[in-house]
Amino acid sequence: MSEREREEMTASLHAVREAVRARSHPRPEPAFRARLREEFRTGRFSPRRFRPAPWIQRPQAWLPLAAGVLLAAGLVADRGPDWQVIGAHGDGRVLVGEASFGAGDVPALAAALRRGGRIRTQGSLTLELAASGVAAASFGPDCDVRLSAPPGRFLGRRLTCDLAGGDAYFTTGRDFRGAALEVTTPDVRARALGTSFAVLRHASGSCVCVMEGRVRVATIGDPAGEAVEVPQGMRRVVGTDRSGETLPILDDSVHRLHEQRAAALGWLER
Amino acid sequence: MRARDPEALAGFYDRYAELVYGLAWRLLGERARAEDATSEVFLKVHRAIERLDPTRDPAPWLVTITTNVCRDLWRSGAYRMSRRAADVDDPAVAATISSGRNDPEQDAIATERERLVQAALLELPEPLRTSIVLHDYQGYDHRQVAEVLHIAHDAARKRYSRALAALERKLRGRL
Repeated sequence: MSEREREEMTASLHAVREAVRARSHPRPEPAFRARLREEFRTGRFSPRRFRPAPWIQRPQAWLPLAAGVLLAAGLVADRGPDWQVIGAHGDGRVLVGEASFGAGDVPALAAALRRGGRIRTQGSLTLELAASGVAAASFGPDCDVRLSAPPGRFLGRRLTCDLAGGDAYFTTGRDFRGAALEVTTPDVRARALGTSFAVLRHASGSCVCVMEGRVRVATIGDPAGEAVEVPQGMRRVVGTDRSGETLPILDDSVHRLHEQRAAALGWLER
Repeated sequence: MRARDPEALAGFYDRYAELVYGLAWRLLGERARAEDATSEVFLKVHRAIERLDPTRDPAPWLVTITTNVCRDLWRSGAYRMSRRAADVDDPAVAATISSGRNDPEQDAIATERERLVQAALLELPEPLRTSIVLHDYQGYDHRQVAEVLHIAHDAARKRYSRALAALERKLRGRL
């Protein structure tokens, strides 16, 4: 604002203020004034024409409720897709928490797994899960894993998986963009920067096999150990003695990841 | 007063009725609503008379009650404001608007000016309007306005500045 504009503005504000101050002072009509005087003097007031709005009609009363509704709506809108069971192959059972399901009991299994949980596969059973458009996960026989709910749409964009034992395969979909996928075993912490990888946990240690994209792998319990970025086509093997090396991926893992991706493709492109 | 002595109450009313009515009229912009608000204020005062501190000036207390009643009136569904211009055709109001020069043309200009200011004031959001009315009509300083509105002194000052600027925008080139 220029000096001239400022001066004009000040003069204009001054004029408005003077106009407000120059206004007349309205006085009550004599009849009204006399009636109210008598009412006030005697304490006998005529029926009120105006009643203040009850508290429920005041905006302040609705603010907490409106905030609650907005929060609930936000949480509903933010909720990502549920896990769906897209396949359970082989003989054996799946334990979700303490509940046990057979391979053919897919609807009940799907209901129990909707928001993740502790999953244990027994026997030769392989369990395949997908969250529409976001990610697919596959757990091989004798797998013990704690899987989180799929990431939210806007907040809490994080998918975690604690793998105590067994083989787990992951592929991310187009809606996963910007989210974090972290798989932890007793030996390694693998943070996905790519789209398709496997984490295998056995008695000799852990192996992170990257078919596509990149995965950052950190050795757990290694004070000096920095995360190693494993490119596609390679695997990071970390023994129980915390020794680690990066090697070419084995055909078997590639094959399994291809299989998993093919099985989940329809779900990931939704 | 606190014993509800009729003569003391009448004296109190005579002293403060115009203050309450004038403030209500400025905030609500209409005689009928100002009367309703004034009735409500004196009903509340009558009910709460024992809380009146005889050692203190009751004017700020009355101003606070009036402001709250007008806010309630503004918000009540039955009395939703139409935000129309002030009723300067009201004889009681029109009679008070005069140029003081016994000049009909000057009186007409003063009436029109009054109408413009009141209409613009009624278009302001309630907190801004209250700020202007208390400061410029009621003559309260920012500290007193802050006490009535239960806001910080700085907030009262800033609100008044915003209110005046908003009013200036509405009246630009019309006064």
